[in-house]
Amino acid sequence: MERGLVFDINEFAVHDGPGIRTTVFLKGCPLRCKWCHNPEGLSFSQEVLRGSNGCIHCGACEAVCPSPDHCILCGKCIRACPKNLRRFAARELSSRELADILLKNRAFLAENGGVTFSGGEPLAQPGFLFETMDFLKPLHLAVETSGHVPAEVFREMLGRVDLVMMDVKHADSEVHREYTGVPNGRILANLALLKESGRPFIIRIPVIPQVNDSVENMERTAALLRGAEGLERLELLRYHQTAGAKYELLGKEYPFRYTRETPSLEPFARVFEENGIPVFIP
Amino acid sequence: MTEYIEKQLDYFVNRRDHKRLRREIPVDLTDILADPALSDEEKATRAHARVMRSEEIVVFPWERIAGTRVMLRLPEFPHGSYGYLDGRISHMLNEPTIGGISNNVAEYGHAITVGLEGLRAEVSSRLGERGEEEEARAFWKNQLLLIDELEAFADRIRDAAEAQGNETVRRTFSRIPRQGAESFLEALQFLKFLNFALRYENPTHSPLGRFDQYMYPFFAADRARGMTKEEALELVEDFFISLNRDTDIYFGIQQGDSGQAMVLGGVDAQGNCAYNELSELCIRASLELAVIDPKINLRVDKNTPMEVFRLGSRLTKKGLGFPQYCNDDVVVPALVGWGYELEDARDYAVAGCWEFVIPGYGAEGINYEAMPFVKLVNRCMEEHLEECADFDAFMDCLEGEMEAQMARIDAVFHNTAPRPSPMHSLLSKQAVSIGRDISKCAKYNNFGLHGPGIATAVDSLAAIKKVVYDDGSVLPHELIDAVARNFEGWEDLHHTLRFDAPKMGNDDDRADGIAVRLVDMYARVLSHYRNGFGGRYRPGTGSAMYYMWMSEDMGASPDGRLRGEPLPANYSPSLNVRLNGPVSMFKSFCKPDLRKVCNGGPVTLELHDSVFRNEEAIDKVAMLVRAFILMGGHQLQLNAVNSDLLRKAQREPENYRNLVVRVWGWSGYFVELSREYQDHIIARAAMTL
Repeated sequence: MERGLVFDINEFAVHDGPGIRTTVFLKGCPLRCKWCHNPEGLSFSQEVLRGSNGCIHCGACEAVCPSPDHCILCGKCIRACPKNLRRFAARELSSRELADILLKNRAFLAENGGVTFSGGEPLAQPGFLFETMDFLKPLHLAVETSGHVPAEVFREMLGRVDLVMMDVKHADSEVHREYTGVPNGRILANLALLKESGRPFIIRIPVIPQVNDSVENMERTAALLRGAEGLERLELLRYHQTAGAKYELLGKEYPFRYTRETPSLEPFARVFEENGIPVFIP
Repeated sequence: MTEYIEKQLDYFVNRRDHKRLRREIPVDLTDILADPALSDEEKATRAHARVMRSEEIVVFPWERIAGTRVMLRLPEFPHGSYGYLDGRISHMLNEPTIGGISNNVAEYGHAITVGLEGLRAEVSSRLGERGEEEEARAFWKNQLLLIDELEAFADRIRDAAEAQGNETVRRTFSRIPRQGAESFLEALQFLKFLNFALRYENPTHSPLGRFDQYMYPFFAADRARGMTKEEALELVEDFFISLNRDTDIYFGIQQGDSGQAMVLGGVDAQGNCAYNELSELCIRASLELAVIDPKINLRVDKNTPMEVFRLGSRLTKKGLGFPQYCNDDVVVPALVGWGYELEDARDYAVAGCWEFVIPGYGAEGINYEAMPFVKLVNRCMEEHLEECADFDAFMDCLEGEMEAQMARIDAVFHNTAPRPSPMHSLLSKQAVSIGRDISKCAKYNNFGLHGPGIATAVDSLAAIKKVVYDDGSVLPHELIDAVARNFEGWEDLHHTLRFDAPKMGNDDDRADGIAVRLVDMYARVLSHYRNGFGGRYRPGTGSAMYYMWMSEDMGASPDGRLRGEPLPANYSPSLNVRLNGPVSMFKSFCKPDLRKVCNGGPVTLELHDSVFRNEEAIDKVAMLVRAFILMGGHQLQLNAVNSDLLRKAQREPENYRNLVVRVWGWSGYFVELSREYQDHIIARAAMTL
């Protein structure tokens, strides 16, 4: 039985596929997008989240800590905090345990929507993911992926899901590497697999100020997508200023800075529409 | 929104210029109240008449629907003024008022159809047939006097309209209220007139009932004559704005608690779907206006089309806390189970907040008291925990405590009498035909109890079961000591109870199973009692203001709630619970058989306003609401909130004068609430899913 790290389960996800979804966030991601708003999903290891909002500086957490210089994940400070400001970032679950949690709402999900796996990068824990999925069938299943995974994993995923939601963050590999830490070669190769597979899919572009918010980038992306039969629509996601809100929980600083906002998504939407690709702006 | 409506909204809601006309108008009722020759009903009628006569009439040249209060305060009708009340008590909410039946729904449709002259003919014919019955004769004569006074009051409005050159209002009042309404506008003005005049009896709350049903014939007739949907919408909006003029001087625990609840949809007497085009226009009007009155309630069931839920969810997005959903599949059988006739049950409306009542047939005291669940659990723990060998024994002791509490409640309220209410009686076919004031002859005389803090009580019981009986990790006297000390010195236990014990709202049978037992117990205990009018005590799940009142002087509780921390509003999770999500929450709260506790009181869920970002997502909210109805939920209050925005409004009230929030069974302007209620709403908003 495979085990995995799950950092959140959102029971009422309304922007993650058809109907009302339960979205499961798997911990760990091979990318390091500078604008990432889910920093607790980056590391493949357990972490302790430390909230400061409401902290009364009572010192209880420090008093119980056996290893102040290097966190050993003992969890003592979590219990000690009178304001409950600390918690483990993730739960470690077996595929069966995760499936059982999700299947408690089986009837509701069958009637109203399904389950979406997100992250982090859900395909970075493939064994755990696929076992869980097999327990969940015949529920409608979707995956939100960066696409930066081995082709055989991607292919195996395609055999299991009803809908793929995949990011294309930048059409230029160099720029992609600069802002996400990896080139886009694997992603584009998997995109080709996705187009071939005939699976329904949605492409998402997080529109990030000064990174990919140019008509030229959108035109290159549109060229990649033209004529894809399974493509249901393209979603342009607006960048939110609150994206850095969770870094403090990890004692980290939000690395992304920009000096101008993206004025409007409409010109980008037009690029895709002119290429016959329906656009949705959530 | 038309330009005309924008103007009305600007004057009466944004600028509220009409308030400048308000002033104290002293009315001396001493001679009436002291007159030993007058019956209670005569006193009430004459007092009501004198108050109306003393009022200054205002008609604005630019309005189509008249009715604006000038009299700032209505005169008091001190306790003891009525002989009828000798040896009985009146309810505290009615104490300083001159009158009447409150929190019950008058039957407006009949009066609007036949006119006051029609009612006069009905009363006169009763008088002719059965005039030898002394009490009935006095009642009907009194009703004739009331009709005279109402007509005189209406004539003064007509004259004021003429003086102002307001031809529309003058023309309307040249027909109504003597004659029945012929057009939709006349019907709206007639309704406004009746509700306006009824206010001078000074009931605490005068809800509007099933507006889309009793107004429909007038609406449909005008539609058939060519009135467009948009014209009809403008009229509905005009009427809604008229309801917002004087709410600040109506009785209320907080500003906005005006009790002007309106019920839409539902079924007809035969059980067929009654949602119509007017229902839809009312929702659209509320959506466009975004004002706090009327409070929109939507009756739905398992057959309600998805489109209705979608429109409802668009209204929820506005953040007003409307609509409140009522599930006919649960409420109608619940009422029938309590002895209501099926046809009456199908005609239910809501009182000021959420309590189910039957228009024209009720003198029900639906909110007389509250069952103090958390206090009972605490008391039971202090007195019996050490002697109970197992959890079942503890639950038995709790039932004993609840019985004792109910006996105390009944001892106080057993004979609580509503005050005579001649005008409410005139708007009841039942009272007019029997020849008795509605306070003495109503078909339904049940009392209702609120049920604040059910979830906190359940969490407390689940915590006791876990640490004392299942794990055995804590001794009874240790738990009692920890709670008494507000957990000082018991920090580790506090953490376990507050964060690691099972909680109601997460689809956890360890807590929800206790909820099922507690709700059954509540219904069982109340079923043993009848009030002095032969009515039941209906158990409810609402909180009204008791979630604040009760927590103020209450110590900590075994669920880890600290001293002074508030209870949740209505039937919703404790404020310190980390929730899995709305699906689990609905499942938890629908496990108890809610037909047993249907006095009213909604499951309350706050959704972050970002959920409503696009139409697709709003449709998903509609799916969620429908799922709740299918799960057997009785009533649902869904709020779109944003805690950041609320905090900002608290800091800069001057910039957020029109920010509307849901409080308990009503919506008001956030900046007009007192600080403690603002803080509670912010705390709830922080729990959004």
